[in-house]
Amino acid sequence: MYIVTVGLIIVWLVIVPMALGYLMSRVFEKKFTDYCCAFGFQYIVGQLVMWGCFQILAVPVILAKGKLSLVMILWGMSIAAIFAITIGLIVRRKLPRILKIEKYKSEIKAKLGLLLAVLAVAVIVGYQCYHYIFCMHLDEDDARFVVNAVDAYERGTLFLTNPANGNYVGTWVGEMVKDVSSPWAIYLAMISKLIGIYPTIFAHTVYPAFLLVMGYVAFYFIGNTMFYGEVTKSWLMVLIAAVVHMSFGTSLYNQSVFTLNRIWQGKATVAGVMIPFLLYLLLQLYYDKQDKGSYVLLFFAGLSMCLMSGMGIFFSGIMIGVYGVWFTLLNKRWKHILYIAIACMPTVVYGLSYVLIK
Amino acid sequence: MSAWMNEIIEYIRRYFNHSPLLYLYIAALLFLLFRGKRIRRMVVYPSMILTVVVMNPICYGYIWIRLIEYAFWRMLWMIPVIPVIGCAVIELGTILHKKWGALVTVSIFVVCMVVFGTNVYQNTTWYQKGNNVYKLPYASVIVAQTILGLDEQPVVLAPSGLYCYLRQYSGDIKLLYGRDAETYILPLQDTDLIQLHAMIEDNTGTSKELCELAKEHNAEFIVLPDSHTFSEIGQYGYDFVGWMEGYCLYQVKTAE
Repeated sequence: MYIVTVGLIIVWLVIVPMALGYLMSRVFEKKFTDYCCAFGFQYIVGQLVMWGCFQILAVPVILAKGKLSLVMILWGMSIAAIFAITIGLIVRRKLPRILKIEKYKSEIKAKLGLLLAVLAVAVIVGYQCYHYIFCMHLDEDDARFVVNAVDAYERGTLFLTNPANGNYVGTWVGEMVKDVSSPWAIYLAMISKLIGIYPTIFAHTVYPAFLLVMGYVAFYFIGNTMFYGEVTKSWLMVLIAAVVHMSFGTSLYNQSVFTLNRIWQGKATVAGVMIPFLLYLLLQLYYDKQDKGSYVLLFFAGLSMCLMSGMGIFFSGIMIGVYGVWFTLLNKRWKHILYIAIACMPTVVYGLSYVLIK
Repeated sequence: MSAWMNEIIEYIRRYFNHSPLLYLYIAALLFLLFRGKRIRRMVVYPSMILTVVVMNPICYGYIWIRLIEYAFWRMLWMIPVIPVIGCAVIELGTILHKKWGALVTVSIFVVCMVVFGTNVYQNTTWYQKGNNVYKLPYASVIVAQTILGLDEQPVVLAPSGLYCYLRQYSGDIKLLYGRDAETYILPLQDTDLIQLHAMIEDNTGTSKELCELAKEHNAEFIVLPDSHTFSEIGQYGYDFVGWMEGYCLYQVKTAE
């Protein structure tokens, strides 16, 4: 039984996102400076596609008071369609088999330095993952977040049950009104169903380590972008992020505490994973590549942030707006303002939905 | 406007709460201003623009607090404190013009953070050793398992130490109230339930009142902390089931 569960975890949390990300990378002919970049990018992009498709499909089903099974079927079909389309494009365009790994200054001369950086990161991030897997942080906000996932998992209803007492209400009441536009709890319920694991266990024990590592992969990309693809400096950026996260325990409110305490909650996933990854995507705009793929990713990143939290709806628009407009002005690519506007569409659509349903 | 600015400053103070990171962020921005056009345009200027957009009192007063209401401090998550500090520390190493320059500066930074920072994991109110795979308080798991062993779809009256966790163990458990008693989710309106909550939390009222109110609302189980002062609950329609991990469990008497 455990073997089946572990196998399904590997399928839904590793193989499916990696495969999706690999196909998307080939379609957009993405180039990487090293294998860490390649695999990390594919993994996160695959997750973004899974999250983004879910957001597009789930919100209308929730508004129509549909069931979890309908969301799962539609989502499954959309992921299958993406697989089919991307494989078709790759075959038709005869895209190269192997992803290009371009080496800039990444010739690893200072091997000892790189080894030390990688070891330090492995120890610190490993220690943080250990805390997520074997220790526990009790958070009363889970009386809503996780219980919404539990109710969807057990009954198939989507925010129509009061999580405080378990009574079927039939409509969205109180704080659940916010969750209609950002149904992260339903995503957790769906993946739990696919894996065959209870949502509480999935949220508290299984998923956090994956999310935490994704957050640090995003910092790797940030370092990679800032330092011309230098591998050692990219790992050093991850090391700095890991140490700062662990040492910023002075207040309950900061990004680091949310990342290390409760990353399974949507707002914390925004803080720990999506804000760093969105920053990386936005820094890429500085290089003024004529790369529509970057804007497609921005769009999916915006969708993912809308899925996770009401805060995410507005944060994605603000960050894309500020960085996007700045880099467009810098590079004088006025046509790109349209792409920035399209990338902000999730904020507009789900922001309206958030405000109108409230 | 000055009131808004004071509120923003208070949010920043609470967010950093005497952490050196605020000063490091400002110092990093100033240092990176002199590290070349690329770094200025890619890192410094957009960080400063974003900081101004988030923290200016006009946006705060007319937009942010209307959108975000009680949680403006979450907007500070967008400020790229860690990437800017990371960039500055690594750039500082390149000044040495040695392959190991960045390693040295980062090592010094790491040591300083470990020594002068506040380790998140040392806060014992935030972390405990996990003793079950649900990562819930052990008492809530035992109480939930016991109740579900007696009734597949129970309705439970539970105290504040448990009501946030019972429904995370199983959605089959219904509660008379949960966190709505603390005005979260959907604030409780029923005066009887508000009274029940007050009775259990403050140990006030009589056992008769408690049991009658619980029965009126179809509570099949009552869970009370060990320290409760409601005596002879058995006389008012609930049988004692057992003690478990600091709680007493009672089940409604079934008609014979």
